[in-house]
Amino acid sequence: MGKTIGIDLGTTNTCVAALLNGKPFVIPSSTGTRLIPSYFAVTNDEKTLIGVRAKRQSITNPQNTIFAAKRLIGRKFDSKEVQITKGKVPYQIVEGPHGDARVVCGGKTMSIPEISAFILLEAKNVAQEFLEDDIDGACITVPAYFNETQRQATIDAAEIAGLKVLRIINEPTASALAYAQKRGKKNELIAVYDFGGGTFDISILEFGEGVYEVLSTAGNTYLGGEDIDNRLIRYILDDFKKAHDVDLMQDVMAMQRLKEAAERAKIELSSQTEATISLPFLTETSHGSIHYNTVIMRNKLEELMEDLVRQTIEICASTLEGAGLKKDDIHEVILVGGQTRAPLVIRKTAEFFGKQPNRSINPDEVVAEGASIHAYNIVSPLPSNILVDITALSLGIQTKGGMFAEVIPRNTAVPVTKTRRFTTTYDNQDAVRIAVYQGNEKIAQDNEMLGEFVLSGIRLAKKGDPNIEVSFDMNSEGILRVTAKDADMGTEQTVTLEAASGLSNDEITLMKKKMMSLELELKEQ
Amino acid sequence: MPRLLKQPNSVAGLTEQEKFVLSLVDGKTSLQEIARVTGFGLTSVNKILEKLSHDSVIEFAKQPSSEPGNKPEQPGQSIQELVALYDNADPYAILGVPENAGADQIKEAYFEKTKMFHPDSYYARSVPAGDKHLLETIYKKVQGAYETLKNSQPRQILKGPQVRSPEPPAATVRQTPAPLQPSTAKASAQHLISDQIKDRVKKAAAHYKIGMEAFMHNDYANAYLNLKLANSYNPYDQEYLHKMEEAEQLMKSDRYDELLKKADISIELDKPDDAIKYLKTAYGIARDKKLVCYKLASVLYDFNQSLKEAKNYCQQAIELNPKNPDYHHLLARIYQKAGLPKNALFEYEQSLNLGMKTDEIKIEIKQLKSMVKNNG
Repeated sequence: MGKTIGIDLGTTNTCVAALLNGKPFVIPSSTGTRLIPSYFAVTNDEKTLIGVRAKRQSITNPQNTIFAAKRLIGRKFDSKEVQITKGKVPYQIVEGPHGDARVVCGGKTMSIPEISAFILLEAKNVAQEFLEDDIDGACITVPAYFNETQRQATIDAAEIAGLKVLRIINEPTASALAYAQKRGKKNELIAVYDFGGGTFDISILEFGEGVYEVLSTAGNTYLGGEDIDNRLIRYILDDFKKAHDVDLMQDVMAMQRLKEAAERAKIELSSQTEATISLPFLTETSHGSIHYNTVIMRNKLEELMEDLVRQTIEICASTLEGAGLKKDDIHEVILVGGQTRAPLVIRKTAEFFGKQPNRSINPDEVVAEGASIHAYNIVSPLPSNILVDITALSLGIQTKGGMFAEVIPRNTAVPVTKTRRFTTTYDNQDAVRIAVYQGNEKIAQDNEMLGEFVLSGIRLAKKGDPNIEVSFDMNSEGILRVTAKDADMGTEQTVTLEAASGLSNDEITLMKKKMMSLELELKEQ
Repeated sequence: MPRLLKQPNSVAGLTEQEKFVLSLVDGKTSLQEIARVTGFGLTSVNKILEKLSHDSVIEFAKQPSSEPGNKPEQPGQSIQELVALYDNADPYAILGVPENAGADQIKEAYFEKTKMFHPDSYYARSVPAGDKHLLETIYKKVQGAYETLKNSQPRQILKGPQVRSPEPPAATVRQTPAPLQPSTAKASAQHLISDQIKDRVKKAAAHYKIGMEAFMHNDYANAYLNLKLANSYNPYDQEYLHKMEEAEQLMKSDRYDELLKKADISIELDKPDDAIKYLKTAYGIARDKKLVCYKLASVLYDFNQSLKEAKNYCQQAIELNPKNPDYHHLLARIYQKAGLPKNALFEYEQSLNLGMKTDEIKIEIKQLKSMVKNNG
């Protein structure tokens, strides 16, 4: 039997871990680094680069270097998120044949699962090389707020990379598993504050004897460390414009250098009170080259990011309230995600929860570690702990006036079956349209549509009289079955909704084949 | 129920399957439960236990008579029957708690049922897919029952040891099938695991010894390989990890030095392509990249290769160490060759300011200044 691994497929970095002798172990690549940058690139001479190699040349080849693919995975091209990302990245985003977002790289249009597949492949190869064993399966993590489409797209990416997915688990849950491993058995309530590169999540978990139960989770999918980078970049751009009257936004190469320098300065400011940014020949003008040198104080950065941190604390407060808990009920607050290294984040969380947060675990590696524990656990005949995870997004149908009626509310443990009764809107209405949505918005259209079908043959009666039972059945693989039934007539209609990731099965098979032939080439590099 | 007659680890010559089954024998766990936990199936478990009984490792104890009102799982009970039991039960019966149960008791019962029926607990067992599906429907019932009962009570948090509420009168007790006891099964399975650990620790020590010997003879690549193995067999020993990291560093710097040497020789032999190849590889493994960047830039410049690339490497070297006048001097020459006198002038001035006060540079600066003036 081969090994199982855990993969934290991140927005900026990807980390892979395996359980060795009962202890999670982050697997270093052959160059000794423990994080694989989530970068993919095609060079001018049509060479495919992944990870560190792709990131290294991103300054000189920005149009063909894809990063932050996680922000696009499983999203529609015309969604708000994709349009926002479009304005932030130097590569081109286009609409795919199924309305999905795709990117242009090396002159070719590529789907997002394909890009993620390359990164997963790199992770798999790193693990295979180190463990000197085949990889039988992987547990891959996603943000709690990923909807079924995004989860399915992640599974498709693994499929293309030839990696068997054991389970997709939520990132904060994975962090909690890694923490639980380090703490031993103990009944307690913990909060996981996860502030990563692209997203913010807060989750409340209860650790019981042999069972870990996720109680509640909330977050903001568009709040992360990159937003803080962007604040700093904005500040530098303004500063630059004031000094030289030049708008750097037009200079792709300068923006890329600036982006890296801003991120570096931000990281430096976590341990130091000031950071120097030195960028000679940042841009060329008709008057010659302009060099940029400045010192950023920690105070300045904290001023720029304070309202973003305040937003996270507000989400923490509402989550606790929603779970019917008080701040004192929480035994331990765990900080996860690179952005929690910032002293301001540590100060604010300590202030809010009234206790010093736990920072004993490496925020960059803990998610992969937790995933590896889960992967190992579920393939063993006697799992030592059972994880009860929840859906962070409600599932329901569209009703009168375009409103969203929940059938499975958010924060419900899965797998689950739930039934809710509905009725007709008109007299003698003999058919209803059941449109299934997922999300936390009150208006159905604002949520992600998963599918629709029609139930016909309803008993003819006055409006509001027929009883239509709608059941949602979500199984452990995340597959949703929706059944609508006229309770009086017994007519029934069932659909199995497998979230469409934006790729058809044929496309996936084709990409898988392509990937296998590329794998050899990649290994030779 | 089978019962142990001998300590399991005193019995030699058992197969892995037999060891696993034996680890679950504790006098309390029934045949059916062992079959379910191991996933081996009733017939093969029976066969194994018969063999063990024949070898006088275990004996079959008499089954205790079941108490009235308590319906334990009958031998041979199928999963369908189990599902039917749960299907017709109310939330209290599903969780197997009395109607006056407190929040703690409800939660405890829910955790117990979760350990039995949650899909993750039988993911890897060889239970037929159809049965897995049925077990999952039971779990959904458990989940629904817990949700109903949980919400009818004020929320309480488990704190330390739990106090059970007093037992209710027998008449009101409604119970579901006797729960599995995975915790006891787990404890006995530890024997198996501890054997494996011992084996791995031994292997780790052996590799460590070989690795350290190689280390003494400065064969860092070999040392690294063996220490990496030692570390993967026994990641608990910090010594292994430290030595592995040390060997890795030395191995890389060995390789780095070697690559730089090779590059120098290639330059001597007028083979810039080879030199660039060696330097780029060195660039990949170097921890401190400024020197190799500088070297790459100079080769690219000296041998009239891509000026753009030379500029990028040189800029990178300067970003890593802005205070080295040599780097600025090289960049100045690159700019000069590329026909960018203003940039070149700036860089020459930089290297002058940083202490490179040669006449050559002073002359260059003078010439460039007049040139820029004329053009401007």
